[in-house]
Amino acid sequence: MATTRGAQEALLEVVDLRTHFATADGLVRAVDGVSLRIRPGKTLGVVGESGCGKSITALSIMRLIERPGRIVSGSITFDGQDLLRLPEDEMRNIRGNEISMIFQEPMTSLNPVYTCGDQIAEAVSRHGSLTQREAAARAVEMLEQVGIPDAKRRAGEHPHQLSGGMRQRVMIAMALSTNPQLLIADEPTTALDVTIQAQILELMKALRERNGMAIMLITHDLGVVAEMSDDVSVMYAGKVVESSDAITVYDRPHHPYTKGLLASIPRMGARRERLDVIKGVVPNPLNLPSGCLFKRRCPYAMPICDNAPPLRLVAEGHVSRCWLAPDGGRPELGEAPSAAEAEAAALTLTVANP
Amino acid sequence: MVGRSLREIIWARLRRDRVAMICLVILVVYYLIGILGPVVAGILNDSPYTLHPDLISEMGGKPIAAYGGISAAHPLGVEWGTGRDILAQLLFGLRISLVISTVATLMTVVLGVVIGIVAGYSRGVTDNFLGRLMDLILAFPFLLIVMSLSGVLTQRLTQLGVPEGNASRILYLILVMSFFGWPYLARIVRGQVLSLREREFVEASVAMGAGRRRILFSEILPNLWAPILVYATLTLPNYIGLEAALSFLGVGVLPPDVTFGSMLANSVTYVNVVPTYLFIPGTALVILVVSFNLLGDSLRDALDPKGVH
Amino acid sequence: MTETRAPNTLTPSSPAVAPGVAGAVAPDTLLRVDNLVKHFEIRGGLLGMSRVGAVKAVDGVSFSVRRGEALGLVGESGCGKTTLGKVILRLLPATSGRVEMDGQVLFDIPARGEPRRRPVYASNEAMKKVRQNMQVVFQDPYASLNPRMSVGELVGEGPLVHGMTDKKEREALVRDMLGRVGLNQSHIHRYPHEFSGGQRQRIGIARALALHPAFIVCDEPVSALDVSIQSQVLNLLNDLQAELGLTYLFIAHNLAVVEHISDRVGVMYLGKLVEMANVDDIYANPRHPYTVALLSAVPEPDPHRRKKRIILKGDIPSPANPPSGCRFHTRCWLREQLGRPERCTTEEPVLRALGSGQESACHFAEEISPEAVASAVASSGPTVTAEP
Ligand SMILES: Nc1ncnc2c1ncn2[C@@H]1O[C@H](COP(=O)(O)OP(=O)(O)OP(=O)(O)O)[C@@H](O)[C@H]1O
Ligand SMILES: Nc1ncnc2c1ncn2[C@@H]1O[C@H](COP(=O)(O)OP(=O)(O)OP(=O)(O)O)[C@@H](O)[C@H]1O
Ligand code: SF4
Ligand code: SF4
Ligand SMILES: [Mg+2]
Ligand SMILES: [Mg+2]
Repeated sequence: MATTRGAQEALLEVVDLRTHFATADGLVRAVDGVSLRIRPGKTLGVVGESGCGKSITALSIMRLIERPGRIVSGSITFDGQDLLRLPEDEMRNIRGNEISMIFQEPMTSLNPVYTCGDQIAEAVSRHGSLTQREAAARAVEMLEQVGIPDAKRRAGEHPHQLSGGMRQRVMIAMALSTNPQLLIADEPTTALDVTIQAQILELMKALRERNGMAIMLITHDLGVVAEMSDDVSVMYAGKVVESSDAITVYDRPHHPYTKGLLASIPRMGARRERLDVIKGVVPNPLNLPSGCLFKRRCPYAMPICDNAPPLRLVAEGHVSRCWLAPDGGRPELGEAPSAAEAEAAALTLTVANP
Repeated sequence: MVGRSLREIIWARLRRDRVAMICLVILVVYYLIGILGPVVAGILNDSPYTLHPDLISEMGGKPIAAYGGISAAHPLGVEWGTGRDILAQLLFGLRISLVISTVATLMTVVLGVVIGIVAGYSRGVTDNFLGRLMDLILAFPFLLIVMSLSGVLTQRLTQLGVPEGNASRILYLILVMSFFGWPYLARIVRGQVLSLREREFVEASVAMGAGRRRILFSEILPNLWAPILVYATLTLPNYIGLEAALSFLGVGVLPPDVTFGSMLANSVTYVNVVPTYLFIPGTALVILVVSFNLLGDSLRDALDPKGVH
Repeated sequence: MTETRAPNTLTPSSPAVAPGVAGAVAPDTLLRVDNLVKHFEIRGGLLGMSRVGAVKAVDGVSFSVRRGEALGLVGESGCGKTTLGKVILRLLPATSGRVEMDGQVLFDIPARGEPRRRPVYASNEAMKKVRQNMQVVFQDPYASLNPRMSVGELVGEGPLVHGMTDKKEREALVRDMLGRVGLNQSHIHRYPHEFSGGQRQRIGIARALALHPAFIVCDEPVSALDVSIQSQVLNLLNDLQAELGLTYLFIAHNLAVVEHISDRVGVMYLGKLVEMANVDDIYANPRHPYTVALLSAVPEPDPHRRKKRIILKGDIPSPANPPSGCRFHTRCWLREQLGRPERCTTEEPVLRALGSGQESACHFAEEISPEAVASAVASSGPTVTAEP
């Protein structure tokens, strides 16, 4: 197995994950070749535009994919065990205990009829052997830890009585109550205001330092990723197109999509007459182009791009799903893809990150 | 490439839905029979009013032939006691049932839509008043009232010039059904209008300088027909069943005219001896009602905006 | 209402009492907003018949927009940006205040506590005429287009309402507009659901342009769009402004987007304007503690610039029950630094000029210095308590 080699250093390793949805209108390949690796105690930022498959990747890791959807292939290795082969009861144990998840819209994932305190206490006692009273006390303690003032009173309130920022804190408190090794945060601040977002990000940083947990931070905000991540994976139309450490991705992006994205966002304090644009639109998941999925929008597109590029190593610890040469120039003729190379692609990631 | 409107997309989806298409065909056949019933009966050279005393036993009136008097001339048998042809009764009865339910549904829809739009768009006092009115009507014990007022009101209708007998009784049924039916639809429409009028496209239209009439008829109304259509397809079978129930209870159509209800009412008396007599109109009714309901469900799915990309 | 301004002080010679209106009623002023108030009543009690309070969504906002400029409006969710835009467009009735567009008074309603006088409203005909001149682009490209109308009907609706009854003429206009916003003209018979979010937003822009307005309120026109599409639409808005000499009121919560598009920027907090200045000044040298914190909170897309920031404590207070005195005082870092002066909680600061055209609604705006900011950043500790 490709994964065993990386197992010592990776907490979570996803290799070539594919999750498809059989809908009435056709097969949606929501996740179609995602390889990720998260180092213990480090933060991986997963960026991509709406619909590129970020949430489905997260849900696949948690094995929470529901009916029209199915994990078709790939492997997900967490702490040495393949999650996709685990029986459901063991998976349930991992979920919440060792991997926790927080969602974009806290209101939909908190139960409106229970108080916040009860919900945290419930999460705590599900995985430990605490008495009801101990669990309740632990819940208040957790709320205090995530910086909710007057935690005792707040523990007795229902989710709708809290502001968005508070709810997100409750979600974080709940997720962290079992001391997970990995926290999957799916757009934890997208629904929040900037000043509240700053509070939450600061909180996550402090908790990360204190608990030493790893974080998979999903977002479409390149600012949030730059702020928080050690490593970055960029997704496009269901695939990871580029992965490396954060500095490399922002300073020396290889994939034309990453380059375009970084050039097109307006930045504070750097006013320009015109913004660079990525032409065209994100492809329809029911009607994906053949070959490279970015082909129609790519300024570098060339004949070879009619073949789907594999995820290739372009520098140490830096992979990119593009035919361009590692230095970003045109690939030399004769460097055409061999079947062996494409096959090796799935393996590259395991040796990619140092 | 020419764009496809939502209507075309919904039709295309419906076409792909086999159940919906089967139901649609069944319903078209039913309506054709309803319209052409007398013609068909004429071809068969029979009518529900023709007695066939020769086909029933003189003692007790039991049909002589097996299975309720089924024979080549009377493929569904004949009626107990009179010997009237059941197929002919079905052909004519269907017509009355369909007239009552269709007209009542149309009236319900018109009332519900108009009052719902007015309530939703006016808000304030008018809305409050109409809301209470709906609550009031929905709170009435429907069956009790329909039965107790039947005598008085049918008479009243006759005084107003409606021909006596079944004409006024049918009209009475249509009126009470729509009177008690519209509040459900009005509530749905009101809710839709309330949310539609807050939608940004309505505001965009106001910002453009469009007047109230344009907002109501060009912006809001076209967005309402989907729920209305679904509601109508689900109400119609309700009314068919309701008419049957009322006729069964004696409020509806009187002999010699027949409807589903009166046939069922007749047949239960003999159900132990001639089960086919209950079974035949019962099946015809169930097929009709189920087809409508399934079509309504399919329509609802096809119109589901989540599925429209 | 703590605003003490009388309504008859709207004369050009009194800039001191018309905060936010730099060079009041200069000849190039296109839109003028004076002391605008919008309260949403909260009804309660039996049958909702009694008034139990009010959400003070917009609470005394004055500013003006010059012809051809883009005025950016930033602030956090719920601070009243959208409400302000809608009240100006008369899509919502104002509680009080005055709005004048291109010389035409749209409404002039006395505030509570002012001498009583009859409110003035532009007549229906006058309003219809004004609507031709001021248009709006909404945030949600899905909700803002009627799903039952084709692109041609959508973009052509305005001209039709304003009397362009000739079908051919209208179609030619629609095609022209589609071309301008970069849509394929053959798409005229398509329906909104056949387009992506960015394309729909272009349809929305084409619809606004079809009436040849001078002024467009853009309410978060790119917030709902994919990152890779935002820059396309921003460039389009920029190009159209240059080409057609448009004036924008550009509402957004993304500070980088506002900086990119605006000439001047106003910052809102809880229904009030707290700072207003030229774009370069406000980003380089913010003069209100809230603006400072807002700018500091934005994460930058550059891993080399992970900075310590000012973390504001607590949440935005409810606009139904805003704090006394300065509305920002519950979260203000400057007030803490200054030892909680009483003035912050008792006296409501008004927007005042600080020279160089910058205006701020803080009693102690002069105290904001790089050192003060640095020390605020340093004292923004983590919001976690240590594990016991
Ligand atoms: N239940 C479902 N049935 C069919 N398709 C689905 C389903 N759930 C998700 N998809 C499709 O899968 C793709 C990926 O969805 P996903 O939610 O992972 O996107 P995302 O990257 O999280 O986007 P966002 O930033 O909007 O949250 C989308 O094209 C979506 O339409
Ligand atoms: N129709 C309404 N009835 C009652 N309250 C309202 C109504 N519309 C808006 N509000 C309230 O007014 C305040 C201002 O809302 P507004 O939509 O203007 O904020 P915003 O600045 O545009 O926020 P966002 O960035 O979220 O769009 C909010 O507290 C909101 O809850
Ligand atoms: S493979 Fe070709 S089309 Fe795809 S991103 Fe690279 S250069 Fe562009
Ligand atoms: S007036 Fe006081 S509370 Fe308000 S912003 Fe200024 S220093 Fe802060
Ligand atoms: Mg998602
Ligand atoms: Mg808004």
